[in-house]
Amino acid sequence: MSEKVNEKRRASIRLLVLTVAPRLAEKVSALMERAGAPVRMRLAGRGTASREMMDMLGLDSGEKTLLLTVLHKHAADALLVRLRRGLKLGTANSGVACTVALSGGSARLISLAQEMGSAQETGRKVMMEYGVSLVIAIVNQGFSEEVMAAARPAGATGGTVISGRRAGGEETLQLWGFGVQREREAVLILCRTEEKAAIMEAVRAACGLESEAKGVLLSLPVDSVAGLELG
Amino acid sequence: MTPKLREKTRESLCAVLPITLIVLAISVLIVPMELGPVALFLVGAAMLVVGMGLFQLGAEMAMTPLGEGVGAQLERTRSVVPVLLIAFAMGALITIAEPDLQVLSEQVPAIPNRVLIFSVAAGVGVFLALAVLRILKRWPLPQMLMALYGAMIVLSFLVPKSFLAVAFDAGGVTTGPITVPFIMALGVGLASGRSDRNAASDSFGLIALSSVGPVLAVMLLGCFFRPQDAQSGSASMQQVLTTRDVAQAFVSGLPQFAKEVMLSLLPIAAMFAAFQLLTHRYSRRQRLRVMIGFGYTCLGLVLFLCGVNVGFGPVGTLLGRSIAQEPTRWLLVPLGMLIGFFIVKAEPAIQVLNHQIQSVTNGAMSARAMNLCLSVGVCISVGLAMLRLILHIPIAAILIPGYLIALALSRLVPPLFVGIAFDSGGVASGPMTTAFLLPLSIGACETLGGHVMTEAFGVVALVALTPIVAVQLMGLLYQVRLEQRLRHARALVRPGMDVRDVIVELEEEAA
Repeated sequence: MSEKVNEKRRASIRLLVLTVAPRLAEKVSALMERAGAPVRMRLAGRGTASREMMDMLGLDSGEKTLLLTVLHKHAADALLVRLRRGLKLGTANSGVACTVALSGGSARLISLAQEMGSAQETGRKVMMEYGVSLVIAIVNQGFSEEVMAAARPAGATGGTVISGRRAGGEETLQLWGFGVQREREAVLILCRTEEKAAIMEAVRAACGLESEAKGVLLSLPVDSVAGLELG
Repeated sequence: MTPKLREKTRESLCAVLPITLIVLAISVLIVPMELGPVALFLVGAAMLVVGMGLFQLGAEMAMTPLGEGVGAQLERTRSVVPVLLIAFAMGALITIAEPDLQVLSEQVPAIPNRVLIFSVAAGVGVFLALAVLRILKRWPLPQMLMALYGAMIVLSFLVPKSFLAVAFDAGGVTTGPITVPFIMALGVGLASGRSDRNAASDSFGLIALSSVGPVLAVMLLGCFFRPQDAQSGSASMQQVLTTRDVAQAFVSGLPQFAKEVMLSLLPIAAMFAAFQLLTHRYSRRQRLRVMIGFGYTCLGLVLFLCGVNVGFGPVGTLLGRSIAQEPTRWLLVPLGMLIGFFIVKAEPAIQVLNHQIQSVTNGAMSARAMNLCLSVGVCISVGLAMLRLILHIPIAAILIPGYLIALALSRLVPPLFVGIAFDSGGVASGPMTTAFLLPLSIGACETLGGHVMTEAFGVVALVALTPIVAVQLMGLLYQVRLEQRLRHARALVRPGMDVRDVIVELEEEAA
């Protein structure tokens, strides 16, 4: 083992996660470019349906694009404000963005984010009237709507689904118990922190490890959001 | 109106309206048409809009999850032989049921229908199995395409000239609107089990390889059968005078198209049933969605095929015949190019392909860029086809250099684009091409006194060829742009900045 101790630095760096309709992705890229967001990663996801009937008829859940980037807090908050204006986040079906605090990273990435952030003024702070959490439910392929059906009565307003695949050998599958599929789906739900526990419990009861969905849950503290409509 | 519904409506309007307006403009400005065919055309266009929307929705809900599921399951199966057998059976069954193939077989009177259909189906089966094997064994696509298309070019010298056009058309025709979404999704599923850096590009290429099969099959048949002349493909036009005639034309067409579509959906629906019984992959909610999706696909395609065959076909023939007359003869080329530019968008499987590409490449290749690329490609191919009619150029003189250019480009372009390019060739030539462009060129050919079998045919093959070149050129452009971006990114790293590669642990700054 190496003796080397990681470098410590005092800096507020944020991971910004933005979900928008794919047609807005170009506009977002331009906005982010201007904000100097150094690294952007793009993922394909889809929204969850708001009504069961519409979902069955295939008329609801549209495609979504997720964009991830790393920024200094000042730059991230300024970008959130600009995204909210530029994309009209918060109006129906536009999109939502949140930031999560990072606890570490590669020096080059952090330095780049710090450098860009120092150019920003601290003035534009995103005011948060309530605490927000990001709940992530990872379930077997095909159960994302079940997750939403359980989460909605507990206070969730919507979610984004990303398709993924279990990594790891067959042994791990055995460990989890029979029925964990290779293809998995991650459902991302933004909610008020006070409702987080209830939502997670409701999803666990319906789609937990004892159900067919074999879901595992986790939640992250969110720093700031734009475009979240919580009644 | 839900956003999804709005998106689909907008998409299908964008696909169908431009070509409708162009044809109307031509009919007003250049070739005055009687109101009867125009009425048919407008009703057909309306059916196209609705049918296209339903078809897209259905493909998304039924074909895509099913194809991806089957693909993922095949990838997991350890032994190769059953996988190949399943792939062969799937390819052959889907092809036998393809309505376009029935039409093609009737246009080639020299070969008994059954012989033609079964050998083309076997061709697709063998090559689909080969394509699946390629993804599993990770053989590089460009080399395989090189070998197979090379064989195709060599063989084309041995085949009677009159067979050549039909053989190449067969390749474009067999990958129809039902096959495409399913096979595309199958590729994504097959490659989804992998996370190596070639996974994305390996999910393409299935359509490309499956369309070689029929070309080779028909060419081989051509060596054994004596060519005969085809009976003229343009149907006799019935007189349409009243609104009742218009309704009658469509209503009498519906049962036939309904039968065709049902028949071609049958093997896929049966596959879904068998697959679900064996693997229990889909939850109750998904099963229901897939079934509703099949319903949409079926209804959408019936409307689409009926609209395009009854409404667009006769107008195509009329346009071809009248433009080809003496004073406006040379207008065939620019007008054909104009029509070609806007007609690809209305090809139902194209939108499915574009969506698939956009999601697999995570937006690196946008649906918009693909649309433009295909439009330019087909624009050129229709232009060439019309030029060929006027100047009586043999088809081989265009196809062979074209394929040589396409193969040469495949050495230069990133493999992802090679797969996409050769796939889009097969996809671009669908029912819109066979039902509108083919009658157009048959009509023009009759007026120009050409040989229908060798000259009017081949337009499908050209439509299948040019997108291959166009998309690969876009790939080259993409590479150049990527390098520019890299240079731009390097410029961001200022001198004196910390560029060591170490891990930093962060603490929040004081607020």
